[in-house]
Amino acid sequence: MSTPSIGYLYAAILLAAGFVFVIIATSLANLLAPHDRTKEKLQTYESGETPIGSARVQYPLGFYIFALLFVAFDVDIVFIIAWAIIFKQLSLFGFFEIFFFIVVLVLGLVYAWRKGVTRWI
Amino acid sequence: MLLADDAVTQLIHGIISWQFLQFVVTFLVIFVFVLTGAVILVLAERKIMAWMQDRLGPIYTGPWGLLQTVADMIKLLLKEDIRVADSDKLLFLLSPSVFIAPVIAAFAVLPFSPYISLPGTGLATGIVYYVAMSSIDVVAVVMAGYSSNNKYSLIGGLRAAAQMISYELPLVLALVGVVMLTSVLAGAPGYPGHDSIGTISLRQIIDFQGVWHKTGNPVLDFIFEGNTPWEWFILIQPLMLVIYYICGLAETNRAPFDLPEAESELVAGYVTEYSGVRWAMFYLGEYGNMTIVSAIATILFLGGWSGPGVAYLTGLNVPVWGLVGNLLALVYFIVKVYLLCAVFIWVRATLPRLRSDQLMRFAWLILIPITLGNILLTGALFLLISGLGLPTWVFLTVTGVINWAALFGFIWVVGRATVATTRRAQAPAIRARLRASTTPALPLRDGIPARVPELP
Repeated sequence: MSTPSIGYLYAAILLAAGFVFVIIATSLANLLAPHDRTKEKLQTYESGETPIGSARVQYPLGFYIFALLFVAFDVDIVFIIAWAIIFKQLSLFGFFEIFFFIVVLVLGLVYAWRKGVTRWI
Repeated sequence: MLLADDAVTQLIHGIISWQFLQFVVTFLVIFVFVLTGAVILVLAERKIMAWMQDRLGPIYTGPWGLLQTVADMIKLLLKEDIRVADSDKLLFLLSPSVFIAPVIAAFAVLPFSPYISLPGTGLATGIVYYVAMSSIDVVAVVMAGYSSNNKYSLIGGLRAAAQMISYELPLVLALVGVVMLTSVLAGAPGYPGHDSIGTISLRQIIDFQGVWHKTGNPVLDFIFEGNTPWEWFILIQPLMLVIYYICGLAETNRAPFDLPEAESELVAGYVTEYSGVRWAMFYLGEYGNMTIVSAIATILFLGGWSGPGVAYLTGLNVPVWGLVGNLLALVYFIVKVYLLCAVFIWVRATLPRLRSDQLMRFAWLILIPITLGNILLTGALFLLISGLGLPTWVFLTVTGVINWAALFGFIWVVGRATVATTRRAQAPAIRARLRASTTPALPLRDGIPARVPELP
C-alpha cells in the first residue's frame, strides 16, 4: 500500500467528513433550536433600516481584473515550484529560463500598475 | 475496469491494515484539533486581548472564565437558524460546508508527529495541496455574500474574494524559497532525499531541519537528535516567514486585514445574515484556518514537531518509548502552533485596520515583487557561490545575512509606504485646511460673523 494515490483517498475522506460534520451540527441545532419565524425576523438586516430593493443589483465589479492577474500569476507559481524542486540540478540554464519568465511577468505587473489597476478605489 | 478493480483491492487492503489504524488516529487528532482549537483560541483571544487592554475579560463562567466558549457553543446550538427571505436557498445552506470542509481537508497534509500523519510519506504534494485547499474558501465566501440578498454581505464577499486571491500569490511565493533550500541541501551527508532533488512534502521538510550526526553521547543525542534549532529555515529566510505570516493574516481575514468584516462599514460582511450554528461554522473555519497558517509556518520555518527527545525515543524501536516520543512531538507541535496563534491575537490587539487603498497595493506592489526578488536572489547567490567552488554553508550564511538585513529593509519600506499613502489620502483635507487658514478671520459683530463668508 505504498502507492501515493491512497493519500488522496484519505484526504477525500476528510473532505467528506467536513461536509458530514456540518450536516450533523445543523440537524442537531434543528432539533434543539426554536422555530418561530416572523416577517421581521426574516427581513434582510441593514442596521435597522427597511431594505430598499434587492441586493442583486448591477455592482461595479472593479475586482475582476485582480482575478485575471491572479490566474496569470497562479499558473506562473506552479511553474516556479516545479523549477524550485530541481533548481540545483537545472543550474544556470534553469535559472535563466525562470529569470526571463519572471521578468516577463513583472513587466505585465508593471503595465497593470501604470494602468491603475492596483488602485482599488 | 482494471483500474477500478485495482482501486477496490487497494481499498480493501487499506481498510484492514496498520496504515488504516494510523489514518484513524490521525483523523481523530485532526477533528479534536479543529474543534478544541476554535474553543481554545476564542477564549485565548478574549483573555489575551483583555490582558493587553487592561481589562479582565470573561471571568464568570467556570473558574477564571475558562468555560466561556463552551457556554457560547451551547448557546449557538440553541439559537434559531434563520434563513433570510429571498435568499438563494441552495447557496445559502451550502456555503458553511464549502467553507469548513476544505479547512478540515487541509489538515490532512500536516504531520502532527512522526506517527500521527497520513500513512506512507503523507501527501507528497504538501505545499501545493495546502494552497489548493485554502483557496477553495474564496468560493464559499462569494457564495455566502451573494446568496444572503444583503448589500453589505455582497460587498463584503467581493472584498474578501479580491483580498484573498491577491494575498494568496505572495503566500505561495514566500514558500518557494524554502523549497529551493531543500533542493540545495538534498543529498548532502545526513540530509534526506536524492541528490539535488528538493521536496514540497511537509514531512520531509521537517527532516531537512533536524539533521544531527550521532555522537554516541546519550545526553547530547537525546536533546539534539532531530532537534537542531540552528538548522531551522527561519534563520536563513526570516523575511519570507514574516511575509508568509502577513499573507496568512490576510487570507484568514483577520485584523489588520479584516476589511471584509469591517463592522463599522459592513456590519459583519458576508456573515451578516448567518445566525446560530451556521455562523458558528464560519467561525470554526476561520479559527481552523488560523491554526493551519500557524502550523504550516511552524513546519516550514520552525522545525515542526522537533524538540528534545522526539527522534531519540521514536528511534529506539520500543513501542512504549515510541508512544512517549510521539506524544512529546504532539506537545511540541501544539505549543509552537499556539504560540504563533498568539502572535495573530497580539497583532489584532496592536495594529489598526488597513485602509482599502493600501490593501491591494501592499500585496501587488510590495509583497509580490519582494517575494519574486527573493527567489531570484536565492538562485543567483547559490549559482555564484557554487560557481566559485565554495561549500554550501557559505551560501546558507550569506543568504541568511542578506535576508535578515532585508527584513529590516522591509520594515522600513512598509513604514515609508504607510506614511506616503496616508499623506496622499489626506492631501485634500490638508489643502482645505491651508486654504481656510489663509483667509483672514471674519470681523465679528455682537459675537457672530458680520457677513456670510464667500466660498473658496
